[in-house]
Amino acid sequence: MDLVFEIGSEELPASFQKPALEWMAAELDKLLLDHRLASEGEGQRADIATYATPRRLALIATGIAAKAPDIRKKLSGPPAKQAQQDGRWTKAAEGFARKAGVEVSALRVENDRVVVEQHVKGQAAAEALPGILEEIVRGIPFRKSMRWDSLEGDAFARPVHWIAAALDGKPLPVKFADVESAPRTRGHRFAAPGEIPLPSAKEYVAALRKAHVLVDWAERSRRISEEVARAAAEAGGVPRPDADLLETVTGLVEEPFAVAGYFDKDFLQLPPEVLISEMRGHQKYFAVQDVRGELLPAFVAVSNTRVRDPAVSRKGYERVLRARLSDGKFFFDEDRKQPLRARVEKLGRRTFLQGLGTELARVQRLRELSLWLHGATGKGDPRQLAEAAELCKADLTTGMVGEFPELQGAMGRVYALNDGVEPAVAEAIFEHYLPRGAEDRLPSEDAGALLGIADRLDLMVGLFGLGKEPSGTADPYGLRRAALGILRVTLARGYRFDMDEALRAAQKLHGKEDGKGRERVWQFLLGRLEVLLREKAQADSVQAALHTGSRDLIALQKRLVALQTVREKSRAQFEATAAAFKRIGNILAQAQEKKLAPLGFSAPLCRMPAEQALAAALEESRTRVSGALADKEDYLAAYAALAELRPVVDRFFDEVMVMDPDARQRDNRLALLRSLHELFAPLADFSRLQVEKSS
Amino acid sequence: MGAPRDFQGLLLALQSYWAERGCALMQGYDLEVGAGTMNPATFLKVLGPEPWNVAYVEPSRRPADGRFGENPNRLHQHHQYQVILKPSPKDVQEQYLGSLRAIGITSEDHDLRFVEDDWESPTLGAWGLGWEVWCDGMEVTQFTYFQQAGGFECRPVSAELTYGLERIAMYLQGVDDIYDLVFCTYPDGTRLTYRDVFWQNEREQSEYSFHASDADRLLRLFDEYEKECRALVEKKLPLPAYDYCLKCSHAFNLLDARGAISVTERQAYILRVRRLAHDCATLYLATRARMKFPSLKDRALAEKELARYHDLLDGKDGKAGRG
Repeated sequence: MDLVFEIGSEELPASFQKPALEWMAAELDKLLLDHRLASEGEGQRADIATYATPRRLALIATGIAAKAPDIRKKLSGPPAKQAQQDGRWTKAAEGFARKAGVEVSALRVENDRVVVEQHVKGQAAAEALPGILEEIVRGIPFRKSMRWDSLEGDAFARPVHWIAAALDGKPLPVKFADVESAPRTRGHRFAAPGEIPLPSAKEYVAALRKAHVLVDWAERSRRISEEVARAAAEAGGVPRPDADLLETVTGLVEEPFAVAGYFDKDFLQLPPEVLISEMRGHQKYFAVQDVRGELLPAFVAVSNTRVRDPAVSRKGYERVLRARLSDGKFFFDEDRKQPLRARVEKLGRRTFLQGLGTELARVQRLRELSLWLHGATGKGDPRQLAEAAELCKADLTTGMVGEFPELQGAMGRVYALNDGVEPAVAEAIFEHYLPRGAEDRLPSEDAGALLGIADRLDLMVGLFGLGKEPSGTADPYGLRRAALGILRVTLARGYRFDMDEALRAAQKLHGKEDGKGRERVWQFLLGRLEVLLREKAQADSVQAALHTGSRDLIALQKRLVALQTVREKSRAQFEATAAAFKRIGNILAQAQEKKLAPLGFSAPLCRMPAEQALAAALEESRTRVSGALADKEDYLAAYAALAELRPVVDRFFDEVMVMDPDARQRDNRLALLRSLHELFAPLADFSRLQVEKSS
Repeated sequence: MGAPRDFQGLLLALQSYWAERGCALMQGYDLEVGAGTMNPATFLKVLGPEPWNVAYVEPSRRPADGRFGENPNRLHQHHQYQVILKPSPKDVQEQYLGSLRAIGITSEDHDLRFVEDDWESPTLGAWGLGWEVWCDGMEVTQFTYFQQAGGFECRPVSAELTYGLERIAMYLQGVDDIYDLVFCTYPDGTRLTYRDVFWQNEREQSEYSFHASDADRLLRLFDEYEKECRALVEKKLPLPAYDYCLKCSHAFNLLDARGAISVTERQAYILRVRRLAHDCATLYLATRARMKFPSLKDRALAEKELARYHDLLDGKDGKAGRG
């Protein structure tokens, strides 16, 4: 059977619509399954399509079972001992039968327990769905919800005006807030304001299209693209591609109409970043460019209505933008009256973050820390780095960045070039903010990259020091993004440094020395690194490679690559080796629990041939392995040595009992295993690998 | 209906529209406020269960926005048209769109849009959800469903409509400079402009807020106003107390414009005003509750609502209903 379900409300925030739909669809799918209504046929699922506009959230599910199948359910009750006495059912048994809704005669004993088979009648979809749908309306997790009128209890993103629900055309009763469902919907707020009968599942999209609502997100988004391209062509250009803006605008209209508008050519003197921010940020206009990507003095606005005369609204769009661009021009002219260098001093009057001093103190720390990173990595030009660090936050005092915070860095670069600052330094001022998000590009040069790492380390160390680390989903200072920035830039550019040393240097600049604090930052970084690397490797490999003691990100990455390579190349052999090492790890851990503290290994103490063989083999590969690990970072060679050792290790376990009653023997064997374990420890923490037991 | 031709025609059109819909027409408050929301006809009246529909023009002072009469878009004092509908009616959006029609802004000719914009006033401990309403890309109204005020949950919820009058007038009159707005036309056809009425005020007030004000004196005044507010709260006089809370808020705005408050101190001052606003709100609610919410016609409902404010009546710490 087909379900049509629509919640009609006042205009929902654009960013709420898709997440709400995803949740609703998943929830309906789950609840249908729970109610055994998920499919008409065996092993199928109802097909759920989702639709949203600013004024509605809708689900259409096809292939719902008309009625859930009856099932037999086995309930288990008290133990037989309590349920029967002298062959008769006790009070406990009677109580159980009553609760299950059966006669005592239906009870049986199975595996020393009383059980009963219950016949559960399947519910008809039409009976179950109203409850399911109410659960869905009440449960949508909006980022912010509100109450309205005098209503108590129910909250929604914006006031709800109608709910329409029907199963194969038959209305379903659904109640929420002060709304009772009716099989009616509404068209476009202005173009088709009246009520219309709720269309069937098949006709829903087409019927709403007729009522001036493009209810399908993808269709609407496509139409906007076409409209915007058409209008931009009218203005003699093409729209500047902007997927985020397209997504937002799709959430702002039910039926799109694009209108091209123009602004004075003189405004093109403003940096393109500024023009684009002015257009897209508040106004949600698309910028228009020529084929070479140069901005034209034009824009495209997307209207929700086909107005009588587009020239009227065009005039409106242009006026608003003109006022904004005049403001922008004013800021640009004012800002350039003072060089960036002269603004640095002003940073002394701005608090960076409560408890972390002024912005001036911050750039002084950044200067030192980026020079420290230069020293540690040997990358970048120290003179450029120092200058970029000093200037990198100066644009925060400009009017333009005050108005458009997202232009920080971009304005710094523009103003620096305007002051005649060396281009590499100006570029670093911009690039130290990269990447600004998961999709953003990384810095192209060392100066911006190192300064960016310093900036983020300073922020993390500072905030962790104040106890303001992220908790749960709350991350008000963007520390997850900062951590990810450090990791991505360091890995991509291959910077080698010891993170603990870097954190120590950052702490020192904050006037602190706190090993526990560094450990917390490191664990946080490690957590993000795990997430980052999990895209490329199995989760347990990532775990095993990262917990190998090193605080050099590149070394950790190399260890992971080697581990993955070996694991994939010779799976079976590797699994066996890893299992043996897990076993060794377990033995050592248990020994430690029992507070056994083996001293150094002594070869002359060895009695058994298998033990002697292992000791000899270990000795033989020791130099080779530690050389491969420490100097050459040739992890594959170390894995090869490890594989060669395996027969000897296997033999050892076959023939030797580690936990010998003779304490001297036992301790000596533990010491042997420990030095074996320690030798290969930099490869991986084998205890974290999920492998089959060795046979 | 045609578009109002001058600034006061716009006010008149809105006044008669909302008067017809049962709003009490009131006046802007006679103390300095930064927005119509701070007028007790909004801030205090949205508290508690008593219904309230009101509309008024609020001259709103923002000392930091002063531009010496030289900026075509920014003013030290602009005018808001403020409407409160409590409880928020089911058709409030339609009523609002009707008001735009009454001033000549129709959906046939303009792109009208409700775009998400949540509102929050840290100094008033108030927040709400709603939209900024766009007419051809220009924000003409802030539309808010009040969820909290003075730290108290709003039950019922009020709808607040705040029209930016100068902006709308500029749009309707097709001028790019605020000062070119026609305020009204004399019988002989001469026009009184916004410049004639307000330019000197803009100049002098900007001069005052940015240069002439005495920061030390303002700081002392802030302290004194705060003391007065507290003393009046002690004496159980919420309305006079709230006046001094407004005085504090304005003194703070002046100090802020003067650059006399550092970033770190800023937060502390905001908190001090918020505490006063909360105390006034608490006392106002307690006082209305003691009077058994007299303007609630449904007495049975009034009794029921009283239970919600029980804690306030017992003279406890005033935490009842805080969100």
